[in-house]
Amino acid sequence: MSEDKGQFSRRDFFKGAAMGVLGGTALGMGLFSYSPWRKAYFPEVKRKMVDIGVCKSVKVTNISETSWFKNAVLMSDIKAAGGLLVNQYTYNWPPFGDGTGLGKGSYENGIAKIKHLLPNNLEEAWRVTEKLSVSPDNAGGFAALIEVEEMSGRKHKFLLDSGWSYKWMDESFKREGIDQMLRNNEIEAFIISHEHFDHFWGIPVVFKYNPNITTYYPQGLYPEGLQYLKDAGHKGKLIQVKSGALNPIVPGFATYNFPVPIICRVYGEQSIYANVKDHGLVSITGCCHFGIIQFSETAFREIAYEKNQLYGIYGGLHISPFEDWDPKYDDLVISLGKYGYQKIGCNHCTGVLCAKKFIERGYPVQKGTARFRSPDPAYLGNGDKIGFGIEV
Amino acid sequence: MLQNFFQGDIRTDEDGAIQELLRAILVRAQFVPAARHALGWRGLRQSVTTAVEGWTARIEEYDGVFGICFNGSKKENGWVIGAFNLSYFPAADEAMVERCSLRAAACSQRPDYMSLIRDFLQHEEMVSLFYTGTLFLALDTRQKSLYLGMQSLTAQRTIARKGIKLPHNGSEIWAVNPGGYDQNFPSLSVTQAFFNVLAASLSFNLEQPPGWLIERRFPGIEIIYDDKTTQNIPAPDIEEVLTGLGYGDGRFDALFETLAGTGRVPIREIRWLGKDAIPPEYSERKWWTAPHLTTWKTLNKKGLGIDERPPLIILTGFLGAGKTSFLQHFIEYQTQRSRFIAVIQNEIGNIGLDGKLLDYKVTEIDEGCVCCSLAGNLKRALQEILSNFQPDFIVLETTGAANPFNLLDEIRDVEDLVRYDCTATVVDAVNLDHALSNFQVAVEQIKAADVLLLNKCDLATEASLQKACKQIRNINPKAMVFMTERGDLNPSLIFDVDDRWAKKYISPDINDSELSVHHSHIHDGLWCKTLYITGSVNRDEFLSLVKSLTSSIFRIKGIVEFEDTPRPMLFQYVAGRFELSLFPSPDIQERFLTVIGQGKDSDIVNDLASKGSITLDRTELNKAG
Repeated sequence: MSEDKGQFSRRDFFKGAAMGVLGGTALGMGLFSYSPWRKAYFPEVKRKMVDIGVCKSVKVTNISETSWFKNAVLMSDIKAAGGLLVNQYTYNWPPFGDGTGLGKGSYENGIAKIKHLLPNNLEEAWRVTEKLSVSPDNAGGFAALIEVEEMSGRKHKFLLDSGWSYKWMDESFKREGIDQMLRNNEIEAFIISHEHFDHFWGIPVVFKYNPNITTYYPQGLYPEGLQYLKDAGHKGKLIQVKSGALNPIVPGFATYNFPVPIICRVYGEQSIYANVKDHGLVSITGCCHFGIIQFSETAFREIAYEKNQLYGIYGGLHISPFEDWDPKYDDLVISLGKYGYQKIGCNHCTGVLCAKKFIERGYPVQKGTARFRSPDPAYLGNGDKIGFGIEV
Repeated sequence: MLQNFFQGDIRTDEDGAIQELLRAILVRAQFVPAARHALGWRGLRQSVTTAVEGWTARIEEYDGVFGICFNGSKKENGWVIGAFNLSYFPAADEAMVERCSLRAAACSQRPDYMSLIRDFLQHEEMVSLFYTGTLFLALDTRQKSLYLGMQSLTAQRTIARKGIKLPHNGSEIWAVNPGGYDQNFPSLSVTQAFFNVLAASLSFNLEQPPGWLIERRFPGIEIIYDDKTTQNIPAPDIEEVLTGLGYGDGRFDALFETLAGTGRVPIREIRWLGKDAIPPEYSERKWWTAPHLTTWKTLNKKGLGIDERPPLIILTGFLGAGKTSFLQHFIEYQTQRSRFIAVIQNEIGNIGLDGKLLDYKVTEIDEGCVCCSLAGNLKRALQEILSNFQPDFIVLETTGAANPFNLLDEIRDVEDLVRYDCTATVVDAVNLDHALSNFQVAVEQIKAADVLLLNKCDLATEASLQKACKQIRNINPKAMVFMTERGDLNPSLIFDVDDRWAKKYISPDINDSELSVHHSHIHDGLWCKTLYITGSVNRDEFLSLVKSLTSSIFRIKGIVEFEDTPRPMLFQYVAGRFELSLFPSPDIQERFLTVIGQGKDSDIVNDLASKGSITLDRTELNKAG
């Protein structure tokens, strides 16, 4: 107890009490009262349990997860161009380079140099932009092929994101046969997760092979992004996915847009939920800028899924986009441990050491082959595949 | 006005959009470390439940955690108004606990208090127990003007008419004397502190200060209760305060009347419009200057409380203790948060292996010991880095044989370029005894530390860990000590994040007389050699050689390739223990081993060199230091 003139110290008293005989009983026995100044009332929200249907299996092919090749180059460019809040179209990165140098570009000036070459002469467009842009060799890209099999056996292919560099993405598309699939209309829709350079700026490579492809983009795309969809040669159906509402596409397969500001002046990220028969819900994400916890909680709130099980996850897993106030707390454990995911394929922005920690903790991470410039087998790397409800 | 940070639509989903707006204000204020810090944030976490969205946060000058949760919205006069409950959970040892209600104080001393805070949205009572004020965020339906306001009492006071007795040591004692305060919490100052940071963040995001301000005070009340009744009674010394800020061109007065309620007689009012002089009570608030943070490149940063110099962290640790492992974790952690790190290393040996292990801009200073050869060079390296990049952190990784005390003069010399943050020393829990008894420099490294990472805890026994802890505590009683495995420690535990640390570790804690002494370091008889390897080596021969090494070889690291697996392998050896792993970049051409030993040259060097494929580096570094 405090010796301060016999003053009662609440801290000392209850600290002892918490560990000693009293335990929490003082509260329970009603030995003292309290009058709340404001009674909190949390609205009781029922799970919506929206039925998005069910599919037999989902297969993801990693076309490319290497968004850029040198982190140091990327970050120092961003820094020198004015930082993380600055509009990405001003960086003067490819393909929007206009020759004026770092931080001095704009969408209009950049696209003017290559617009006439889109989408059919991308080799030349890239040659042009290589000369006018900052750090053209650093551009890679993120893109994935998603194959959904309906219960009837009918198959659907979707493309998630287009990557960044025309050159790298064309090579990557050819490596995985995406060019042919697009040409043959085998891929029925193109899903844009968010407007970031490494996910979005490669769109002419998609439209080169299929300009008529149905395209889903997230609400929050800026005017430059919308204009780029036109300038890149898209002629097909363009569908805006509204924030906070499920967007079912085929049975067991839906997208959802998370409204959240993202660095480099981007807003909103669209991710994918697939409900796999007898397995559970599979989440597929570009970057997961909104955090894995919100991704999982939203699934719980919005969707009815098999066995009430969050089964699998693929993509870049941003564990926490900013600094927690309690560094002793390990978000890793609650985020993936708590939800009990049974199959994890991670890469891109996850962090190799982070992926290794998942493995060390015994989380079911499917390892990759570390080919085609993917850094480590802890990542489901470029050219690797993962199946949910199907073995690959 | 909003389009740089908010793309929601207030007309379709009012509840959703007003929460989305708060989310955008909070999240976007976290992106740039210097701005985040200047705005006053010290950490933020989203708490999501199926019902509502909430946030927990730390801000400057407060040890406790704030909790914000959505409490509904209403539409009125063309505005959508969201109300958010603000709670303050004081730190368990904070004096503020004494002014909380007894029940809240009891809660704050529970062993699971911190996790209750983290999950406060799952415990409605947490919000009520620690409630301190209400925040209002309103957006007009044209999305052209914004209102941010708060409401709080100067004190939240409850009086226990009959007092409160609690059992203690078999008898009962008065926890609250009859007629005494169950709660007497200084709510206004706490609520205002958070409001200031939030409003500064809004100004920052909008890139404009508010153009309208109001403060209205009403007579306050207190609560008096006993086991039968609870009454609200007027309290002459308590005021209810409402403050509001308007951004853009809106009908703020009408909105404010809605919030303040009609038919109440205020005590006084402050009202300000864009063209008037700012009321003195409010002139110092950050929300006036925060818009300039977005264009801070061209501004007087000192005036805005921004220190442009990046923090410099000195990373030391004896040979093989795990400095590079720690650095890898550190870099990945910061990279995931979009921060940029510059690393300055100086390696013993001709080839900087660590530079090849890290995907980062690395400026390697002259090889050899920092303290001997760095004179003038640190400054040059820093200038080069700062002119090319704007790193958020700079880490100076010293060689395992360097004495950090010898760096202090250098650090003073570069104070105009960087802000010294701390010295972190990685300590090898397994080989501590050997290092301490043979190398004075290992002792000095521990002595110089602000932060000690006792690493390789997974490889040490419980008894030896305890002994190691005691040993390092004896050498350095002041440093924070963390137990780590493979150098994995959340960097924000030790670096920069909090003013409290900054205050504690403002400068290297040694007196000037010590500075004049050139501290002992490598002259403990350490030597270093680099062996170049051409082609691949026989795995069995190599490993049997390694296993035969005596304790005079302390550390080996390098890249080898075996005949049976033609891929570059990273070889790491510390005092009898070794590890082989695939080298992350398969294209690397160099094959070499850097060997550090003590005393007489071991036979291994000659033995290895006698294998046809290995050649001894001509420029032997017998001095190593």
